[in-house]
Amino acid sequence: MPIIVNLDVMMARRKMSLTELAEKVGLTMANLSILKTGKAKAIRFSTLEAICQVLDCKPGDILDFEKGA
Amino acid sequence: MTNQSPTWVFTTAGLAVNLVYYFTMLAAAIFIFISVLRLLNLQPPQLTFGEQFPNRVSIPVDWEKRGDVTLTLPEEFLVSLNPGERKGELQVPIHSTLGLSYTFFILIALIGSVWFFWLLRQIFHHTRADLPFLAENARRISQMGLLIIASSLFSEVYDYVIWSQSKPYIEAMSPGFYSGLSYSLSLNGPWVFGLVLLAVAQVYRRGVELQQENALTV
Repeated sequence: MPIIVNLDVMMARRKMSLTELAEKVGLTMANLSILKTGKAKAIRFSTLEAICQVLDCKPGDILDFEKGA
Repeated sequence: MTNQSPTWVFTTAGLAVNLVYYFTMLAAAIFIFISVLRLLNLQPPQLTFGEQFPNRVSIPVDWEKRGDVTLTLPEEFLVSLNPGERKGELQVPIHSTLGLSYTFFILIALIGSVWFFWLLRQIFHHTRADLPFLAENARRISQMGLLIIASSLFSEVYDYVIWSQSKPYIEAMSPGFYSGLSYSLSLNGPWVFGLVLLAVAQVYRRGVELQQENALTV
């Protein structure tokens, strides 16, 4: 899929663990792992909003598009 | 007004399917047991009411009477005839072509029924309220649809074979009698229900896809 999820990069920048992010966003570890590993088929706006708020970033910082990836 | 999910319906239907499945299994087992005994020229135990003829199978047939004639039977043919209703049971030797054909057809029909109810039982057994759409269930519904379509075809073949093979027996009983069984290809049968099940399976597959997509949506 040409959509790249850079969640791990942003988490590293903010020095936040997956457990902490899951707690603050209100997602299960399993669902956050699905998103982090790029296995997710879709992301809800509400989830994206919560992640952006917790990591203090924009959607473009988490999601990227690469042609032919 | 709130919509309450009637969970008892699912449980009751599951229990009913289980009961029918075990009943069909038992019927198939008894039929196989009795048929094997008859094929081996052994006397099966008395499981039904009424007169039993050793090493013979009862084939339901009907016939018509040309004029006012009396039924005279040769030694080799046995019938349980109800002249008023113009139908009865032709008792044919199990080793005859008709007897073997009839045994084979009933056996296939019973196996088909057991298979059908086994699939239905598996659906009820594996379906969960939180995960209603399973890929295996879609496959099972398709198989049930195909089984029903096959049973329609099977029924036509059965009618044709029994009609063509029982005709000489009835004609040999008495010149005044002729077979009331007729064979005609009918288009109204359970095959329509089979097609509907195939369509339901297609919709169900879409449900499986949507459920998978939903599970991967965060």
